[in-house]
Amino acid sequence: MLLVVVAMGFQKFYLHGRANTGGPVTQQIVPLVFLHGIAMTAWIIAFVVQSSLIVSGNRKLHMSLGIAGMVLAVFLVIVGATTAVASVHYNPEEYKNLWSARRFLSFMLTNILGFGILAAIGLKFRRRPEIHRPMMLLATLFVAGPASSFRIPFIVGPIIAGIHTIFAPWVPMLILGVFFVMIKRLITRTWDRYFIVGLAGMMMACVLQFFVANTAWWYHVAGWVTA
Amino acid sequence: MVSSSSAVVVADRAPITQERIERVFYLLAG
Repeated sequence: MLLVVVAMGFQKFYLHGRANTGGPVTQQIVPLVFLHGIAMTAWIIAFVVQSSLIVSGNRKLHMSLGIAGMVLAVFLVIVGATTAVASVHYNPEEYKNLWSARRFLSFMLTNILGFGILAAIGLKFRRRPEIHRPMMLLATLFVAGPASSFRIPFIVGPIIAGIHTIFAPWVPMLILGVFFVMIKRLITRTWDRYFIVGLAGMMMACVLQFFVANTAWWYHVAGWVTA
Repeated sequence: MVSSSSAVVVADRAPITQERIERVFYLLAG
């Protein structure tokens, strides 16, 4: 499902190599943007491959590929954060309609940091499937988050129009998380407490980001980082 | 005789366990 969401959200990038607005990607950092896009896509595909290996009972290969997955996760955090900062530095105009570049930077950095934390928890508990699985899915939800938000106008458009805050881009992602909880409850007839705790943590991070993004302190920090 | 052949049939079919449902859920979510 997340693979489909990402394919829909980033279709302009995949088909034409263009930004979500339909315009060209930030010219000064084209290789970085493409590297970031390819690495993010690789993570989503890796999640599907890893899940299918577990379904087919190939746990040994799953764990071997997991090592490469962790290297990819570290790479994603570095490339993601760098791309966000460089994009705001070179192309602040693009974020004018997204509550200003500096405030939107907090959204992007929270997203990539949240991914890194959840993937690290997933790695730490790799031998406890009841924790490992929900953490990896929630980490992947963070990766798919931007695709589910402002890049799918028909979903986020009404939400942005209704909320008018920097919290809006999180909403479709969090709705997807709640959807997963409900579907899992429906088919397994049990509440997945680790998934719920992880999702609650994500929600708290999103709320915290919303408040921090509006402070003078963040305005100065973001200005210093992107200078 | 009947009950023993029934037992073989049941053993040959992989039961849909909670664990299998869990695994398929994560695959479909991805």
